[in-house]
Amino acid sequence: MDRKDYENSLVRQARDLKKYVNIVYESVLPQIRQLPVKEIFDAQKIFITGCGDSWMAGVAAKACFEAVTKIETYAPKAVEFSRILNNKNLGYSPNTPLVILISYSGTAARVIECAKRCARYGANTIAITNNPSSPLAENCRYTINVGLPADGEYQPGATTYNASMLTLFLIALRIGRIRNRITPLEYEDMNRELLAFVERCAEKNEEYETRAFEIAQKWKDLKAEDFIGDYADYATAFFGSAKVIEVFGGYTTYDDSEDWCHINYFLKEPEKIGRVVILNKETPSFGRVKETIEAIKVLGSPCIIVSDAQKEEFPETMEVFTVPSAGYFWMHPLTQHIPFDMVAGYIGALKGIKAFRENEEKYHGEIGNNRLKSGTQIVIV
Amino acid sequence: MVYIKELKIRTGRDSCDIITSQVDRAIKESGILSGVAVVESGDESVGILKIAGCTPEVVEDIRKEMRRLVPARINFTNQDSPENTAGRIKSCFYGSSVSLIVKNGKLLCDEKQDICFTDYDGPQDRTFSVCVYGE
Repeated sequence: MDRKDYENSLVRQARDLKKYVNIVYESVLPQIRQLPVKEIFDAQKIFITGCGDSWMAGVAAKACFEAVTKIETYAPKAVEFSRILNNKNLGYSPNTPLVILISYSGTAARVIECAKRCARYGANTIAITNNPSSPLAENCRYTINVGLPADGEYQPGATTYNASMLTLFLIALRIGRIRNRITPLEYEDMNRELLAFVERCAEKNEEYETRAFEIAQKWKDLKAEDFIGDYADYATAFFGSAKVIEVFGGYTTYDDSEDWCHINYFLKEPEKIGRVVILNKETPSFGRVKETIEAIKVLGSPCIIVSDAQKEEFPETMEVFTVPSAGYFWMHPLTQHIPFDMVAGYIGALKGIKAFRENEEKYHGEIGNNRLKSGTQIVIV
Repeated sequence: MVYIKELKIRTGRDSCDIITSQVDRAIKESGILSGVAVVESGDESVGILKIAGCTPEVVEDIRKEMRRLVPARINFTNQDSPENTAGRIKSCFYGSSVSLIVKNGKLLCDEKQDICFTDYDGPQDRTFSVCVYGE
């Protein structure tokens, strides 16, 4: 069996991550330098919002914002922000909060609704999108165009997830520098390390692909995939879970380590559920996640661990992808999804299933195709 | 005769490093007994100052006064970081080079004054040069 016969878009995107990180970095850095100092300085609170992978890019970047800007940062889903968030959080001081809204197409209805609500209350808004003339861009004060080439493969989203996350990281660094929360040396070092870290990860692609294909053959007939991750790793857990659904329509769930012990632990037929644990060794709950791994061992579930910790830290029976360590812990979500992207991509190809069920009419009728972009937009006052 | 030496320094936040001994060493290496030494940095947002009675208390007072006169503001026209812009202005105001008399192969001001490298936007890796000319 030759893995080259089972390639698909997600595998290729995971492999090409470095290339696109460099493209986005070059594109967004000059734009971020143009963000006005005064308005950024005014921000007393930051919200990052979006839908699906875009929302999760915000969850992944929250740790970076907190570490680098020292400003309270929240990453609610778009519908929570637009319909549920209390008004008292919006516009209580000039240019505050700073709200960063993410949509690759710039047409996601709920994200546009968030932008309109921000405008109503005088919050500062930055759109992250690949379409600077989109409705989202038109409804935000500032737009960062991630600058992905028009001819790229972006479905299921992995490149776009990374583009959003990298842009968020760079915005955080700019805020940190403007507010003098990080020194010029730290700023330069963080910028350098972002690209160097991605480079180190890309060097492991061949190894990842070989192992991912082997695992995919063993995992393709499992009943479900169950993801576990805490703090920034939670974003990677969600992201992996989303790829299971998007690529091959599998049953999946995701949770943090603590709740997993309370709930998902009890899923029936554990030996038929693949468990994927994302564990950055600087995660504050590292010990708790290791206890969770011991529980998985007792259940007898097949398990993949993606971690920068030594392989010897984990049970021998588990498949450990040892990923490079980043100079700053918050950089990990940028690359730690790559191993499972490859596994998911190969499972989809081995099952012969098209991503997003593109050959099945019921998923792609008029309502199905427009479910994200249409729908009534309202502004809650 | 002209002798030029380039030196590196890792600064701190709002730092004021005494570099008199490095300048003295450069003069000694030049072999020049009488002439002028120029100490200069081409980096942005740094200063080269000559401070009399350079105790930590004096330095702290100078630092505070500099900040009072040129605080980091968010409404600078330049959209770099406020610390950086304020640093560039301080660098213009207070200077980033000094000229010193060399006599008998030593700085004339050596015993009463110190040469200081100030960084208004540190920490960073910085450079400065000492140029000694004379005979």
